[in-house]
Amino acid sequence: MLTHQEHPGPAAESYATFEEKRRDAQRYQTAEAIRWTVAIDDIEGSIHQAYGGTAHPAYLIGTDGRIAFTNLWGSAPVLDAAIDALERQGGSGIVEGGRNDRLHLLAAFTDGWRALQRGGPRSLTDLMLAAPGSPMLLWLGRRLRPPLTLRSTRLPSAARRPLGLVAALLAIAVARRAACRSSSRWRGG
Amino acid sequence: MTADVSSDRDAYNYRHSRLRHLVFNLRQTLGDGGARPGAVAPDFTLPCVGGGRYHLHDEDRRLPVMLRFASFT
Repeated sequence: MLTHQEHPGPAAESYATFEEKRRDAQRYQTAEAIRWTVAIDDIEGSIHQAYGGTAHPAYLIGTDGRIAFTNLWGSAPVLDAAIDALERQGGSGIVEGGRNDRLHLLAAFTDGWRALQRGGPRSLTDLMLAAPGSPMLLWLGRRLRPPLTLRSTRLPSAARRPLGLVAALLAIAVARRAACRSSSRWRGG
Repeated sequence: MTADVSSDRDAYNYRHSRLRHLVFNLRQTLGDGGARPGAVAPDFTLPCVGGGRYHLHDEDRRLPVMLRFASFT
């Protein structure tokens, strides 16, 4: 389902009309070679917000219409395992504990640069201001994409640990920056 | 600038991606954000690329659904 522009820029501005969103949904399906249904949420993001409103969550919904599993960062191996578990369970009920809370930033690391390119210069500069250094990581990740994310099995432990460390450091950097900003605002700075 | 910031601050269709948007995603992940496992998935009927409409809780649907949200940027 297509949501709002996560990183708007001059080449892909935030949506003012539904027709703009419909056009981008078509472009997105073509650009990403998506073979399944692409639904288009309304301008206000009503459905997206009903499901939490985060950047790119994934929800596995069983034949009973209930949420069987959720992964807020859409990790392919995690979702693949959940799908297998749901099939073994007959298509309904909670699987794999219902939720994977790990910070799966690998797909963002390897595919994020493509999103920024679609937005244009402001997408890049806004992300640089919000999370300094992250655009350079995304540029690097784009070049490491094939061996890292074009797979449905989990990476070996030896590869996951350093990547997990990078994800943790990024998360800490974002949290510290937010805390500094909040602190300076409280002090009247 | 002031008008842009004040109208942009809490808007869903913001013009600038800010730190607070990244922090929101982080908080939702580390907290309990999003729709809950076991709950009935919020229903919807929406238009699709190529025409037609998709209804999540269609009575004729017999298979599980993977619902993935994504942005063009």
